[in-house]
Amino acid sequence: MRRENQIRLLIVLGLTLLLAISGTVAYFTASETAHNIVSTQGVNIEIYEYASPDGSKPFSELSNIATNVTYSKIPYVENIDIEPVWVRSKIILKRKVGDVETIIDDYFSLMEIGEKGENWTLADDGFYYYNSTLSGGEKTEPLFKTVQFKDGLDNIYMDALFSLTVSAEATQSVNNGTSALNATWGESGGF
Amino acid sequence: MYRRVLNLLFLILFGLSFSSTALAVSTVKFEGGAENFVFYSDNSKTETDLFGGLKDLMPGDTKTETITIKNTARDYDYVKIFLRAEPPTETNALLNHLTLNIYHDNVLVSSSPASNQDTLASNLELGTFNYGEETLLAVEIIAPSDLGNNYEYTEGEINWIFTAEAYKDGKIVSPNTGVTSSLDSSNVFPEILIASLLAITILSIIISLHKISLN
Repeated sequence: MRRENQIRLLIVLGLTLLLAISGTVAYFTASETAHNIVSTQGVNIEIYEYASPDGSKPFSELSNIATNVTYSKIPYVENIDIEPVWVRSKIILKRKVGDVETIIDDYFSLMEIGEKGENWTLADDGFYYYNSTLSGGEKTEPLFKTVQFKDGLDNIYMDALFSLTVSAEATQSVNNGTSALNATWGESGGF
Repeated sequence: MYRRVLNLLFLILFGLSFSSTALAVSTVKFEGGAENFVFYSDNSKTETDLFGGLKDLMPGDTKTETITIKNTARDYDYVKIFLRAEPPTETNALLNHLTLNIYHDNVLVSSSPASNQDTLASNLELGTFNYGEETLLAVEIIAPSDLGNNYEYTEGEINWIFTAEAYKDGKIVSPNTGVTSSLDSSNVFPEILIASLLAITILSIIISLHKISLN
């Protein structure tokens, strides 16, 4: 027998032996696979703004606003998922003249935020922190209910377009501090 | 009875030790015959998902699933049950971040990233079970507190393979068909040898015939 044929024979023998072993073992065991799934939850909130206390009238754009006049604007946050969360919110006032838009950092000097919610605490970083956790489906009390531009505004504010934006953020409350003020926020971890 | 009391004690102790975390219970029953293994878990996503309690993880969470493995097959004197983990078929970033600890009867048998259970790469014998006997596995999963927003609403699959060897009158029997074999654990190898000798004989005949045709 040539060497080539001998090698072929050895390979065939090896495969035959392997088949015999695996066939015998497979026949005498029973196996079943469990497809186990682990999953994560998340955090999801929605911010709403109304012009009436009962929530029947959504807040819409105001035109020709005047100083010393109180306007109704009622923002609040709802937890639309199941995990309890901490919530914080920020008020941003912008003035747009022509194509130039600027953020007015000291909006307190221009306008009065009225009927603030007692459960919100203003911190040094400019955020209002909600004092209690917000469970799934729960709503915060309104951050405030009215806005009013103060009397005696400079003429530079005439014919300008103002936008008063209320933003909100949420982070998990489980495993994350004892209040919204000492919770970890943002990219440093947690949902 | 003694084993049942031990298992119950283990379940209670394990439950107490993780009283601040979620604790869920699943079962794996070896029924033999066509049913083979039957899986059950509350809140499972699929019919073979044993991790019903390991859902909706949040950063910093530790959750535990207790899995009861039980022999409910009456047709055999006893069965041996083994567990091994299937290597993941694709990379799952979430599983890389989760730690999976597995306790068998209160002894830690595996602790690794959920994506790479090296210690379960080969079969772990969970025990020898007469009819009605059971054992407990506790699966603890830990999500790090720095798990970021990229992992919100994600999931990963961990595949476990349960294997049973059934015995009757000292012989291995087929767990699927219940057919008793002439094989038992001590003479499996001679049977393989006979099969191999038979194969060699057939091959020799084929080669001889081939030679004759060449001549």
